[in-house]
Amino acid sequence: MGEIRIRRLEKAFGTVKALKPVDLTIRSGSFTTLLGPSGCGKTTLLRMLAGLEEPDQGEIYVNGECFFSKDKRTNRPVHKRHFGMVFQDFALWPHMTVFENVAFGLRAAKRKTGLREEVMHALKTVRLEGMEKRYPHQLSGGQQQRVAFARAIAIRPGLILFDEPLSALDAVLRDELRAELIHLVKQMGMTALYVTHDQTEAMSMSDEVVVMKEGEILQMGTPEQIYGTPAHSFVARFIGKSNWLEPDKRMLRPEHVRWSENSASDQQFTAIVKHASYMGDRYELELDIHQGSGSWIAYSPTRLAAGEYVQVYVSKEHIHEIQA
Amino acid sequence: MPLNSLKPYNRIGMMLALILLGLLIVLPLLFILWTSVSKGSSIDLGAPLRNMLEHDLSQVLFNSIWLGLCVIAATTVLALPLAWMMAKTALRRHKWLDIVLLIPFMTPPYIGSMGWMLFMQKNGYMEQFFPASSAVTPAFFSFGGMVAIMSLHLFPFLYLLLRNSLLQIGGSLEEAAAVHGGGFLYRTRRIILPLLLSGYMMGALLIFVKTIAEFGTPATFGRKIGFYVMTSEIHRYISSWPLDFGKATSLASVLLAACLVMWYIQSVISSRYSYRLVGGKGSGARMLPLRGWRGLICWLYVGLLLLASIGIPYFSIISASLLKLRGEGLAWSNLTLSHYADLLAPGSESLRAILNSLGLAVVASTIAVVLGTWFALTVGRSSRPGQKLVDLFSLLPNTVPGIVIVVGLILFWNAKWMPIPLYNTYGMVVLTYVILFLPYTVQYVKSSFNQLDPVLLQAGHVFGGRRLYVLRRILLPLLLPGMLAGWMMTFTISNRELVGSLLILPPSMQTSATYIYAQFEQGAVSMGMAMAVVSVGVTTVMLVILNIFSSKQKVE
Repeated sequence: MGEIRIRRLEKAFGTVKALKPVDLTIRSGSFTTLLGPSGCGKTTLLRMLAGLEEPDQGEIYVNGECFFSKDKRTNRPVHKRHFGMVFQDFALWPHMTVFENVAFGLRAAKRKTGLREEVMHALKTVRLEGMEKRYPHQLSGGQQQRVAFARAIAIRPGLILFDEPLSALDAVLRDELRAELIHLVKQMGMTALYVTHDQTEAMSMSDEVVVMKEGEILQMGTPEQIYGTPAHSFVARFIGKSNWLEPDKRMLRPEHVRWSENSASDQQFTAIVKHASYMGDRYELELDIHQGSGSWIAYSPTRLAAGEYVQVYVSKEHIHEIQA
Repeated sequence: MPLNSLKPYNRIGMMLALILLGLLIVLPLLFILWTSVSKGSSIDLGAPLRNMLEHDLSQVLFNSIWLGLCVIAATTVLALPLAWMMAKTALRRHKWLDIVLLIPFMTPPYIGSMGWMLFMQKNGYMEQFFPASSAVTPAFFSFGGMVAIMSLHLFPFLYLLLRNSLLQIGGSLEEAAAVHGGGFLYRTRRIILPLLLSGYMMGALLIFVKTIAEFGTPATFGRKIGFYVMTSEIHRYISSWPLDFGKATSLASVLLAACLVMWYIQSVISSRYSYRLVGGKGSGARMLPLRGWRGLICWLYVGLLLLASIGIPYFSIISASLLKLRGEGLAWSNLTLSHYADLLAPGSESLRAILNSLGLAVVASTIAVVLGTWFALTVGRSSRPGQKLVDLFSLLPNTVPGIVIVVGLILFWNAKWMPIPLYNTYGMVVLTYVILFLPYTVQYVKSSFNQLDPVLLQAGHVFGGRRLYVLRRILLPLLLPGMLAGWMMTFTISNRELVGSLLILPPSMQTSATYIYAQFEQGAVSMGMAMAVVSVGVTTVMLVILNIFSSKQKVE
């Protein structure tokens, strides 16, 4: 299993800077997610790692081995990087059976002995035993997605790349497969790099989250760090909901807005309820804050009428200052 | 039960459509088969083939097949490299090439052939540019030359098919192969070629059918070099003495059967072996940059191809129409516009032919659009057997060679028992054009209709629109672009149509196509080519106007 080190990697398409110089280290055996809105450069970074796109500058090392270096004029071709990849549209070859799709990487590497066992093992891992003779169009979306995953793990790759693999599926299937996928990756102890624009996916699956915007890495850390101590106002807004005491400087998360005073050091705010939405387990309130700017979100176990005046309390330790 | 009135479908309308299609298209074709297999009271299914073999027509059959195969090979050689360049290299950015490449395909084959003949003949333009070439130009007037002319006309068709397949394969399907360890050769062999094959097979079959069905080149170039194929022989047996309808119908029925079999094979391939290639993100596919010698080779290839498929024929046609005296060759002092003046002189035979062509085209395309829209709406989403039958019948003239349809129409409407005296009238010409070009409107309208979300019509009903109101206010306006495209296509093609005009026109009548053909045959090349320029020019201008008009409408 490999450690990936990326140094000063950058890429421009014409005059558009898709990726500004980026440094990134992916620990061996970790599940790392690149998270950001579309056009933030996350897919470009992934494709450059895979070798599908050539960087303009920088270096890529896998386990200390140089895969790409502009200065050293090294560029290992795509098919020699020994990665697995799950594509957004699955990219299953329609003229091949499930078995042949999964066997492709092994056949390309001229593996003959134990080929059948390897393929069947991969299919068993994704719970598709007995489907090996079918063609991709005879499978459901979820099954196709599993074949794509089996194909990627069959070659026992050093790194497995996911390019928004769940975005083509419907919501229920997505939740189900998300859990299954993370379970399998962890079970096999593989290093994984996952690209998504869905913060729920990123937060629930990853060991490390890399938040990107406009070709730059804004913050990298565990999901807890990203949520609890965002390093950038964009990160604070993009992940979860944020209430601002001072725009782009001091914020707190909605679950820390309380209805009673805990200690004398608590800050007190007067607010008008603008709107209450029932979420099943609680009410989500939109509050108009007098002292602050704009509106806040707060959670309440009971319904409050719009227009009502309320007092809310915030502890000092829950207020996060953004350093940048 | 879903709201049935939403589909413009009803039983009576469909029956009417079927009866009309049966009378106009199916019966005449059946009539050919019946005439060729019936001998008095007995029926002999092998008669057409035997008739051909007995009367030395087997050579003609063989010629057609050999020509078809050679044209497949030549179009592949021309189209495959171009498709690869346009799919995989930076050449892809030059979208205008796709439009330019439609020109050879839209040029009537007989006009293209005439251009080539003028260019390569003794003392032709080739020899005037390069006198030394007179050693090789005679070699052009051979089977190889004929294959070249027909391939240069048909290759854009195969090119578009191959390029689209390559583009679709080129996305994530190829990338997935690369990531999972497939080198260039390995993934080409295991992924790209197998996926390209079904598309190529269909394209090749269509090229074959189009080649053996073509009349324009065999009638001009083929006749000159003495290479006879089925279409040209059918024409000979029904238009020049000694007439032999027996042989003509035998040939026509064999040609008909061959084309139907090919289309059947093609539809089997497309349903069984074609994969729905959902193109992923197109941006994914990398483009090979074209620098240095690579760029040079690519542009040279494209340049030569455009020169051969457009440059040479059009240069020959236009310069032939401008020359004062052909003997004096190409020189600025030898240029004149007088042929055009003669051509358009009031009261002249040529002007009458032009106006006649335009008139016929307007009437025929208008009728074809009305009928075609009706049939297309009857077909709808072709869910019922009756709808599928209407679909099949209305597209038949696209499947069957034009000359076969025309023979069927002659046999049918000229039969002794036919009570309607349509044969040898203006109406017969209109009818022939309408039938020949009906599939264009049907296809265009059908595709516009299939793109419509049924919800749009349902919304119309929900907001209180009655059937006819919804039809008038929602359906027709949305179908209008399709109908317009169908009208334009029918107008363009029927304005230049040669086969139908040659065989069906009443004795005293001429169209621009027959005028060009006759002038060329009689050696009045300048007048013929001036007519060709006018006829191609008029339709091109109309297409351009339509394009501007429709793009303006989109902006508003």
